[in-house]
Amino acid sequence: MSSVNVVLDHKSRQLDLASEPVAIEVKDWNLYYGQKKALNNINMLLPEKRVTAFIGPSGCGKSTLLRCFNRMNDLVDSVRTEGSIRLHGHNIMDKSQNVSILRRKVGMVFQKPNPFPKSIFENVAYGLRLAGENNRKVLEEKVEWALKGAGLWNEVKDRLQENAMGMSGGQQQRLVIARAIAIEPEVLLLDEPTSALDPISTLSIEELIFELKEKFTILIVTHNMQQAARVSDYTAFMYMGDLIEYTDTDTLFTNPSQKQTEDYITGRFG
Amino acid sequence: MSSTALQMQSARRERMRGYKDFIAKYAIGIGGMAVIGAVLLMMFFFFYQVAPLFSSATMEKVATYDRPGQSKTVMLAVDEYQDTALRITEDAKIVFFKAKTGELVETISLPVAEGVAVSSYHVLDDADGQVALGLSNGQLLLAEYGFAVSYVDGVRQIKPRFSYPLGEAPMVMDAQGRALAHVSGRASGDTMVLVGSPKGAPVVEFRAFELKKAMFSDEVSLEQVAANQVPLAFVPEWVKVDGMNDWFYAIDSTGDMQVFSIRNVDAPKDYARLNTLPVDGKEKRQLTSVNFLLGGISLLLGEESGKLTQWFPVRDANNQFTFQAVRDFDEQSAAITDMAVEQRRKGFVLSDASGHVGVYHATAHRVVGLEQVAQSAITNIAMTPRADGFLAEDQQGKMHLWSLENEHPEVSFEVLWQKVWYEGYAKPDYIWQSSSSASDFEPKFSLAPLAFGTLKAAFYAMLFAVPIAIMAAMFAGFFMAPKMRQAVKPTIELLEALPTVILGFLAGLWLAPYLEKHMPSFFLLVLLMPLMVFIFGYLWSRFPEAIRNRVPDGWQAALLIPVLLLSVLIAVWLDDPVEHLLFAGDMPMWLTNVAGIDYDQRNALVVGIAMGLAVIPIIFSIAEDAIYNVPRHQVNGSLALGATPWQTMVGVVLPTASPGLFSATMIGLGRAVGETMIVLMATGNTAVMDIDIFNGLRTLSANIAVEMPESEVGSTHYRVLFLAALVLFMFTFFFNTIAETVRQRMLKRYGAL
Repeated sequence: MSSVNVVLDHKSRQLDLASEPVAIEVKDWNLYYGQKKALNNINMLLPEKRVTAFIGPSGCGKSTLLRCFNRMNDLVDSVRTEGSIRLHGHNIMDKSQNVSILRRKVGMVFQKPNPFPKSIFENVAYGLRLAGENNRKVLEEKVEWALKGAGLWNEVKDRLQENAMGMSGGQQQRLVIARAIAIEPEVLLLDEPTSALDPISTLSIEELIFELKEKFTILIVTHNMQQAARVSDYTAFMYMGDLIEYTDTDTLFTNPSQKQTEDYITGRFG
Repeated sequence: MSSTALQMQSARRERMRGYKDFIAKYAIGIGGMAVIGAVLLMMFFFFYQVAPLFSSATMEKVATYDRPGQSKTVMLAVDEYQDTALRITEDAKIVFFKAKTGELVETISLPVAEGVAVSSYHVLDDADGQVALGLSNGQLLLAEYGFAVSYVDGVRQIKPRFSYPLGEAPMVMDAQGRALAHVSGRASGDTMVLVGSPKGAPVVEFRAFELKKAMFSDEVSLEQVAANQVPLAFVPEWVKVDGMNDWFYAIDSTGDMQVFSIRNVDAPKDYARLNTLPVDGKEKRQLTSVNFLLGGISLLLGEESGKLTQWFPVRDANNQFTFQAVRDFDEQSAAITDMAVEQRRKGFVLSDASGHVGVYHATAHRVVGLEQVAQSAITNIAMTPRADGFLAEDQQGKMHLWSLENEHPEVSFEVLWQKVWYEGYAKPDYIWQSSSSASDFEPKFSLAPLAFGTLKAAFYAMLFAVPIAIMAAMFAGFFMAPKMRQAVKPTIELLEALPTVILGFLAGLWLAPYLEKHMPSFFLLVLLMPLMVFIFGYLWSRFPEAIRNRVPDGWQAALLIPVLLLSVLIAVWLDDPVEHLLFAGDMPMWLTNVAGIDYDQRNALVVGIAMGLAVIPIIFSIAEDAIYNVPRHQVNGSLALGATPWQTMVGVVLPTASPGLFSATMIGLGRAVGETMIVLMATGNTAVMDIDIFNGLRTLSANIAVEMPESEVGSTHYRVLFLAALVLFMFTFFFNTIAETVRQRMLKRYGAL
């Protein structure tokens, strides 16, 4: 509880998007599913080591946009894109960009907890092993670090060899976060990470997000406006593929500049 | 509508729903139980057909009565219907009597001089009733007994007859007129050999005759072609001429045996001397009864201790024969007094000094029955021609007629699954040979080579099919573009509907001869195809982006089609040069001559390919489903961690899909084990036990298909085929159970995805 209060306290500090160091720059970004345009000319700068939330009604394109940052949309056959997304100045859509390397820099956590049917240890070590790390000692150290980072270490340190499928939903989701941070990405994408969880698990994930932003740039998509208000520094409101409003969270929720934003956050639609 | 009307309608609907539920529940229940019931019934029927193979003989007493007629019995015989029996007595009488009551039918005197007794006998031919009788004056009389069957008003009448095919005048064997203690002989082809040994003399009188049939009558005359006196090393207790007129054996009660080769009737050759009763230090062993088994190849030596040993000549690599003890029976505990052999099988009965009779089968190494028949020692025993009864005479002059039900003595666990030493073979071996043209043929029922052949065919088929099917499933289920998959998957599954008889037909009539002629092209293809795919893959990765991007993701596989075709063309084109360069122009010949590998045209390689093709679709289909159904979020989770598609495949997809892959393989194996048409047509059906890929084989299933039409219902062969079916059933049951158990365990592990 206290840390949520801390979050809110922390957010009372004045934030200024223009003065933040930029992690990701989205420029003239369009995305089509076949003939249908799903994202319409998005332009935004995402600040480093901050939590940026994407909100909006279902089908507004917020998840689609999130999936652009680690090019998961490549897996969808009919997707076509225009424009550029730069991660620390480098265009990730470049032909020479190795997708695997990009995804190691931009980790992702999905809506439904998806641990692999392996042991807890092997789940966290999976990304490390992919990168070629096979030294048992190094793996153990990093797994412990990641599990501690995900606030799971004390719960699982005695049963690291047990199958991850036996954990609770909240533990699974934190395990998946541990798995994502174990390879020390620069950016962490969270796609509705708590929508499948109970309130208590949700709370622990939110606390975790607050702690993780010390090290990582976090982008979170959420349906829950309270959650966005609680955990994020900046919030982007999207509607029908357009980026309607994007500013610091306090301003967006207390004093939105757009009518649509206000209608949405006051619950008139969505 | 009023509310009551509504209520009625709702009640009616409720009732209808109840009826439908009821009908569905029981219809489905009955259907399911019927399937289980059908399988159980089938199992039951198999066991029902197989069980008689392993049951013991039943021996039942039919009658006991006092010996009809006077004097000591030399020889006993019974007719086919157990109606009439005969005794040849020491005082030169033939006593015919009713087998079931002992009532005297007829007594005939032998045409011999007054006071001459019958001192020995030998049955030359069971079927014709030809007997050689040794007389106390050194003469030998050839006689023939028989039982003429006629039907008067539908009632069977048996009329005994006794005749002298070579005339009533006995033939002089010992010029000194000593009693013939032993006679023996055999008619084989046109030659007849008669031997006799005078009492107390270490010699054998040897006579050979040529049988001459008169031109216009049935009369047979003998022309003597050889007469020798053969000196022995000892005074013999038994003298026996074998069934092929190749050997005669002289044996004494201490077990000394002298074997003469009589291929050249003019000069019997002292071939071997041995002792058949090696002293093992403790007890002194003694022979008490000796006879040939059916066919006259195996000698049965019965001992004072009740033990019996089977001996036969074995040809060695230098074409020399050694005489070997093959197997023994140690069931009875008193001295063997007499023995009678079956006329159609390798079975025999032994009587002993304690009044017991044991029923045996030599090759099956089986004691099928042992009963106390008489209260005192049995002196003579005779078997009915159909081996369905025996007549024994005891020391107190009582006759015992017993019936015998002994349908399948020739099958035992040893015969089915272990090496068996058959007559005429150099060593014990696993042999399946269920029939032949000869009438005295002994069927050989080893299931071992068939079970081995089944597993061998399945092994080579799986060797060919599993890598291809699983890799194809990996590609189609994970890498392939959805549109391409939609075309490829149903096409491969359609191959499953291809009748296996077509595959077998192609394999037997086209592939087998083609492979024989163009062997190197096959091996070239095995090398070339992956090599060219790798080279093409490497070159493709070096192609300019502009060209590569024209091919949509997941469609690259289509580019391999011309590469594969090209590799086939190159392999065929290189066939001749390679065969000339490396294999002296003929690879099968080269394999046989240089590598020392036997080459059959229809071999395990052909079967492996053809049956592999038959099981690929089913393995592919199940494996592809398993891979395709790995949850998307698992795959995405791995990809989002920076795994390449291949790393995701190995790290997440394969482990998750492993239960499905395993059951795909096992179901494919089950199918390969049970497959019939392909192995029938492409294996050559040679029941050999040889894992070599270029050798043929015979499977359980093909064996059943081939031999079913020629097996007589209820015969041993028929039941052994059922046993083969049961073994096959067990095999598939075993593989499917393993598949399901392992799958369940793996599912538990990877479950809840």
